Amino acid sequence: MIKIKQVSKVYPTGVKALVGLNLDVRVGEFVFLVGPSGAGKSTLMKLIYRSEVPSSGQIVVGGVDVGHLPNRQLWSLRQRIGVVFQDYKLLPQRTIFENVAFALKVIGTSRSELQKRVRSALDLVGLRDYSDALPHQLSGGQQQRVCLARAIVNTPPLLLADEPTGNLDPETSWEIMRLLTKINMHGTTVVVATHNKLVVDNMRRRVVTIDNGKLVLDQAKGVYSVGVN
Amino acid sequence: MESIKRRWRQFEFICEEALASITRSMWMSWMVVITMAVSLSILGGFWLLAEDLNSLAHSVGSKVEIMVFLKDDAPPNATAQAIRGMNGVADVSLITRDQAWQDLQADMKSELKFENLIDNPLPNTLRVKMANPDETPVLADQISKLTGVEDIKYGRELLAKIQQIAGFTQLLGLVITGLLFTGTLAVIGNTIRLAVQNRRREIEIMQLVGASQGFIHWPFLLEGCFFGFAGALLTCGVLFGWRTFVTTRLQGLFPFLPIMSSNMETLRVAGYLAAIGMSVGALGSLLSVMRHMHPKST
Repeated sequence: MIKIKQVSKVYPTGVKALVGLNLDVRVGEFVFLVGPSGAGKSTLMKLIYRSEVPSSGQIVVGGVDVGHLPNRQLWSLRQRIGVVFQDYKLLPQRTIFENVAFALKVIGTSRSELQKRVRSALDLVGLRDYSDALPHQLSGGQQQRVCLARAIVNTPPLLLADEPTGNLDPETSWEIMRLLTKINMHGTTVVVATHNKLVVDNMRRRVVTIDNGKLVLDQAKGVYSVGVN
Repeated sequence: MESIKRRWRQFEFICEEALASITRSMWMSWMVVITMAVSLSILGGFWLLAEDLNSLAHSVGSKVEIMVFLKDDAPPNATAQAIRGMNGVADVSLITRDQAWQDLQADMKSELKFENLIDNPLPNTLRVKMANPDETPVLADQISKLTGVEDIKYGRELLAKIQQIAGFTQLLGLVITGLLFTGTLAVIGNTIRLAVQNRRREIEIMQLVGASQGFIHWPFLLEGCFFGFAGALLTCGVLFGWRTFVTTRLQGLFPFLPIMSSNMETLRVAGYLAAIGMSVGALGSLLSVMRHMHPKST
């Protein structure tokens, strides 16, 4: 699903975010990206969904060389990647239903299909009863679930979650992780960048540790490495 | 078929987004529409004025005749025939020296019999009407070169003056409108910049969920077009009002002034103004969107 070869990223300020990083993620995998703040996790996520372009090296996502994808074809990549953010990025003036439907409206999905898909996405995250609510009327955990519903409503083969539990209490964090696992069981490849040691240690999934822009550890059923953070 | 339907639904979505953006900041939208209407009204006002002056020149010109005075020994019918053969001549009529002499005496209403005192001093005269008054000076020049022509006269100065004023009005209108449109473009650009900032999150999310760059630009372009169109509609009202109340009164006061522009004429100008307004609106939006959306940093 994702092939990263010798990727480096140097920001215009001179900060080296990633240095010669190699990583392969297979279809259907569930991967945790861990490491201290500033290690390069978020940069790696941004490179995968082409919010940033690598300074050198190659990133291939679903057979597409993302680094060399022209801007005008970016939409085709983005439609195949769902992204979940720490700050949810919901539209405050729109209802929960509209927020989730937004992702389908921009690609011209038919009304009946849109209704069906939004309902099933909201069912999956357990928020069907909140369709008409506005984001500010929901708790942080519920807003994160809306963000998750929006990310998967288009059934993308790849789901990226950047610190999805960063603002949530442990119990709510578990809830989000359970949902991500459920989505992964449906065949979606899931990559989660996180600081949450408790979650990582308990899930026993593949854990990739990044420090100072380099991949320092890649464990098949790993834990949050000692010495990091 | 499915692809057409999908495009249609996307179009609906674009319209919804544009409408939402317009109504969200109603006050700002009105300001832009009014600014646009002021610029378009001034353009339209000058435009119609220039049309009126041109039509005045045309009307005066069509009444301008070339009076051709012939030498005493020239054959009047042959000269008349030669002038009739020229391009752009509508009609040539002959006033013989005898007829002119009688007319003059009739005009004098004198009891005196001139013929008893002096010989008829008047020449044979040809009255030439033109098909197109713009060609009067050229034709006059050609006629004056014919053998047998003593002298010619026509309202050269008057015609030239009216045409000069019409040209100047057009130029002045264009310059003032040019300046105003630069301002209007800036106002629209600024409004769209605010709209882009207001909708930064929507734009970011649209980019993330796979909307194409063009698709994201469209609601803003549509919004700009709407400002232009609404401005043009207001302008239409202003121009028709001007025509109905002001020009009609002027016409009543100066019935001899041939102000020809009809409502159809105003409608034609209004159509052009709508097209210009929408183009300026879309252009202002496009420049602003390109400048403030930073496609690289998505």
